[in-house]
Amino acid sequence: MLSYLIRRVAALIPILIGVTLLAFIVSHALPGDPARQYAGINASDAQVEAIRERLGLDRSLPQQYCIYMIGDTCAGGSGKGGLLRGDLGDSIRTGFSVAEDVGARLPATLELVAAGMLFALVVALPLGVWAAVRKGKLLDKFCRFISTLGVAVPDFWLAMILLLVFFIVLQWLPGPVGRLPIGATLPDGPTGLYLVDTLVAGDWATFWSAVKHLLLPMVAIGFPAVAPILRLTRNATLSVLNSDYIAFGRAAGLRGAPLYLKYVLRNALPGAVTMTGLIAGYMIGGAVLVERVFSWPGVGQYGYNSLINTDYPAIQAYVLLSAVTYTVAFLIVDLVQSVIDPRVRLK
Amino acid sequence: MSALLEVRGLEVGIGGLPILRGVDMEVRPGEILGVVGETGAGKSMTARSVLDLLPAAATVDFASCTFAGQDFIPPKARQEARGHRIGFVPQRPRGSLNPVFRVGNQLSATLRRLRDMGRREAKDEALGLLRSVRITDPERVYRSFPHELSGGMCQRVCIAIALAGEPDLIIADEPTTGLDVTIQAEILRLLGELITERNAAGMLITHDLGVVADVCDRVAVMYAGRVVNLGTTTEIYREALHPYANRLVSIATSLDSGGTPREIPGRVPNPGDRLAACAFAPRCFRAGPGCFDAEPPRIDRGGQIAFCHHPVNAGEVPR
Repeated sequence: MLSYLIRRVAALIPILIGVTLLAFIVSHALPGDPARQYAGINASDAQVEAIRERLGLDRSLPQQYCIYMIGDTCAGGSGKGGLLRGDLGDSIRTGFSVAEDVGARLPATLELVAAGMLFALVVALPLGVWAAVRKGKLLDKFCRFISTLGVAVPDFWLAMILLLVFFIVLQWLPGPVGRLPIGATLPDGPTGLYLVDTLVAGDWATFWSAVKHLLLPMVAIGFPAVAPILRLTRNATLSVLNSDYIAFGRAAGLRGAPLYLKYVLRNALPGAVTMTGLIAGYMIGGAVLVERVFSWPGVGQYGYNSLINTDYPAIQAYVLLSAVTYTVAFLIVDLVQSVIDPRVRLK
Repeated sequence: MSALLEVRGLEVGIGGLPILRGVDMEVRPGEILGVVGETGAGKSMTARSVLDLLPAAATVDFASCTFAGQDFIPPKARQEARGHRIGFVPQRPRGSLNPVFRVGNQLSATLRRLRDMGRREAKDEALGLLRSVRITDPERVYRSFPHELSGGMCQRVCIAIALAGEPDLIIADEPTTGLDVTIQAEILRLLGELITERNAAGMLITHDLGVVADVCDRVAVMYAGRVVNLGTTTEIYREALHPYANRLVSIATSLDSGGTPREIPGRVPNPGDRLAACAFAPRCFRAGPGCFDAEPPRIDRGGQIAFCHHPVNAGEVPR
């Protein structure tokens, strides 16, 4: 198991190096000149050139990539910086180190994506099993409707509709002001996940407030994921229900909830797990728009702002983060798969 | 002797197609009834009807059905009998065990469910059951997953699960299909012994007449959704009244003695085909005009029951 993990992680390295190269090329191919943007509208050409030189943007592209990856040794420096030393570089836009910027925003996105994923699973798994058991009945048709809706409705639009209904009309939930009310004291905890930090601190008022702020973004980002998981679970459950071992289980007196929850769901799960991994990676991308609608201070917004400001190091870090999320999600999927199904051997 | 399981006038249809067209059979206490017939004759359907295990699309109708005197027509009665009063041995043992749980867990979960046992007690009993189905290293098998065991081993585990609820009747649905020929006989003999040991009754569904001769007390021969011939194994083997059963036996015996069997011309009708009054008439060597027009009468002769216009008379058909 441990050697499997080591080999899997080692196999990630070439993939991630490829991703950095791609992210580098694509971000530099973007229209826009970061030096000019950084200098401001009124800067003279000489000032812009000076900034360009300071940012190292006057060098050739291969040299820039080399500096990004290996550090200033490439430019005859003393061996500082570079991705391989764990340095993501400094943001052109904010001036801070990209690692710090991303680190400060990552918990917000993680909390959002985890909540969205949880929402999707809690809705989709039981509903999928139930729809299969009641195939062709009203509930099954309702689930098909939900699935179609989930595919057809974009998350940012759903986000706005949710705000319209629950904030403006019903006034049940807070508006798009981020994770907590404006001016609230931010919880100071080790994880940066507000729900966890406030729980640990026993700060119930802030916890409840954070929950209320999380609800709408959670549904907005989670709902589109309900459809594929629901459909997959339903179809997997149908084929499990027709299997010999379910027939034999029934013949041996197995009925009701134990049959469906233990026997059926466990066997129907693998497909849904794979889909969940895929979606978790996708959600990081989906977070961009949902975070914008809810002023959620996460990496999605950061990535968006970096992109429109041609902030090369930040864009590259954002792309790299997405790639890492995907690959880690797949690794987790494979591990979970081997736990669910003993026939899956990790080699 | 009053029957343990008595089925009268069982009719099953799927999507409007008649699959079973009035099946009558009974299993008496302590006996093993063999149910034989070609694929599609309705053997498995009959067994599954008794356990209410038919696909949701099937319609089931009994004229009467009783188990140890209890009315078995309400589906609930049949569902509650599963495992407790009727044990079931499946057709494809390996696919019939849940692939994600250890077989020991499946067996002891069955014991806890059917006999209200505690964890510890269920495990001990499970190991005992595995030993009783002649598994020599029960501890290892207990910890194994189905895919780690051979088909024969899986079938022993399935038999153990079928026995777990101490049922009065064990229905085995072609229990040796898909097993190596070398262990088929072994499994069947085991099944026969276990049924006898436990004073239970058995219903053995198979298309192998050789098997029936070894294990069964009585035989029901099915054709196109009906029982056409029913009698003691000895009688059916000596001289089956129904031409179809008669031919089946002669094929089986000539195969056993290394001869060339005389095949039955034609093929089994599909459900929904237009049938003559006697479904076998188009293939029958004794068929006369009446066979196509009138329902065959019930013949009760020498310990056999047959439904035929022209039953085979003793010594009439050359072997």
